[in-house]
Amino acid sequence: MKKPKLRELGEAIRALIGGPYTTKFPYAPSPAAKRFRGIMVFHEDKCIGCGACVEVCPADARELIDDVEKKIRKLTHLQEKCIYCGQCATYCRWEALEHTQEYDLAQLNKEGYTNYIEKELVTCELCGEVITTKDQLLWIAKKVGELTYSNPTLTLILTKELGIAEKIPERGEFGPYRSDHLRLLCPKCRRSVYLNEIWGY
Amino acid sequence: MKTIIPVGPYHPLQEEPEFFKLEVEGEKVTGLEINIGYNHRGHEYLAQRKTYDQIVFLVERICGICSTSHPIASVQAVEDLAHIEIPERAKYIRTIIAELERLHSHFLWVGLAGHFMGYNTVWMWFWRYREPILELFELITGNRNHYAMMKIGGVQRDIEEEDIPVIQKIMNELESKTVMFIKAILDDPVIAGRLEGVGILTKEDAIRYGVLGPTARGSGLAIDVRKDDPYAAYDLVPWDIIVFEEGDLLAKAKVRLLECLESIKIIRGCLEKMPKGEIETKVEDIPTGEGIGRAEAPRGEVFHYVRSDGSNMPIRYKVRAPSYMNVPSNEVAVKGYSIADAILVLASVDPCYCCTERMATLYDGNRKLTGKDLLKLSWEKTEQLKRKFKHRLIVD
Repeated sequence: MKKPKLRELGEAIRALIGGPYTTKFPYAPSPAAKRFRGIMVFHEDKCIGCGACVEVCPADARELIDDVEKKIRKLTHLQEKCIYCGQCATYCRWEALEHTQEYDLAQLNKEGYTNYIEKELVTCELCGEVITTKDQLLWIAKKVGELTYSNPTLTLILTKELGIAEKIPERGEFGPYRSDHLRLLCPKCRRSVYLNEIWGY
Repeated sequence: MKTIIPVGPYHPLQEEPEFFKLEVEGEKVTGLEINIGYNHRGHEYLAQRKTYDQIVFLVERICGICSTSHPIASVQAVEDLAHIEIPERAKYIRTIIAELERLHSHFLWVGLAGHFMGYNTVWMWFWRYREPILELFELITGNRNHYAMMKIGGVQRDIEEEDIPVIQKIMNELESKTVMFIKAILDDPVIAGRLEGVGILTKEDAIRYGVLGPTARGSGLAIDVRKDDPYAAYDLVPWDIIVFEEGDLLAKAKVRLLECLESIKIIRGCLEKMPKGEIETKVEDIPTGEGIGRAEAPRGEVFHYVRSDGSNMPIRYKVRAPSYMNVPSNEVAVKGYSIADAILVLASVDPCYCCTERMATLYDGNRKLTGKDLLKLSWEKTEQLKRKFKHRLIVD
């Protein structure tokens, strides 16, 4: 401390001229980096509602609720639980999920925190069990190509979507029957319909 | 006359839950009792209910500062279990991330040490130059902390070609600054007066307490997982272990300061040698068996153990963080020094209490006390205190 140290003096002068290193954040914009993992957005047109993002989430920040009455699958992103690790965006092979560079999570009302997507659900016509979303069945139909016609559920969905489906009569009040082959069925009911046709039970 | 000064359960300076009972005679500290276990979050139990891919993100949140050494140890444990070889490029990327983390952690510690000494200029300086490292993290990984870079069989993201000049530029700037700071700190008579010859942890005590990391290297023990059991790319780039024999606070500070330069050297070596190619290998199945993973965190060796029964979740997961070994060594290091020094000695091991989270159980004879018993004890104590200080209570 006998004489001023020159090397620290340089630093002090730099601080004096350059001003503080901190940014005047609310008054000046402070954009995040390109790869920053901020608030998530859903791309509704790309999502097929398969639920892979729910499976891989380490923080249980994704919720999948099937509403059988309304025939809707609701996929929710819970912002308050999310740890922004990017697993769901990595494993979504349809690129339906994306992190934006937005980091301001504060909202004025509670509703602002729910970020969800709703997909049309297909249920079994016999037992009412959930099969999967319409978009996923269509995607499978597209993927397997002509093999679609070996599975009545896929065929029906595809022909309905293309607008070439023929009208199927209303179902009567009886158990699994031959005409049920050409209905939307869950794998369990399809087996029972098939066994009923061959063995009678 | 013996007096007890409680520090905690919420540390007034380090702002984490731990409890030190300082036994003092006048100004001199004659004994220390350490209590931890205020911060149990059940990470090991949680890990046994998550898949191997999810555990990486869970253990990342054990510590906010060394948030890549736990994932590295975790993925290495699973890779050891499943005999997975990772690609060369992934090894280099892991090393770069780990060394950047060591840099920012050591900068943080030196800054905090300055703050504890009442030397706020040091604090401001170091934290100002820690900022570019955090911004670099945001650029490479997408987050300032909790980088989410590790993955079983490789890394999650690649370091882009356009980012490499940015890293090199920041490293060049940091190196000149670090050299300047080291000289400034080591020349300063006030800092030397506060640190030199204080809180001496002898080599014998260091071995007896099994201390790790810079605490051990400041006491003359040349142990470092990066050299002893090389993982990632530490055996592929040149670097040296920093060891000092003195064992006092200055030696520990010197070890950390000079390790910053070594880290810069390692990062430069990695950027030079990093080959192009794949960043991950495909993981087929996790077999039955057990595996261990070791990584050198900025505070010492992190140890993870995993046992599998062939399913996608482990049946046992064990974590040992370095502060768990380092904090008890304060018992001997703090004896014989003044109270003002004790605060520095307690901070000198760079303690991380959220890493040392442990469940504490209380016994009454042979009976283990449950939560209800503890509540009852707490109520009884409150009643006792109420009776004792009845005359002082103000009741409306």
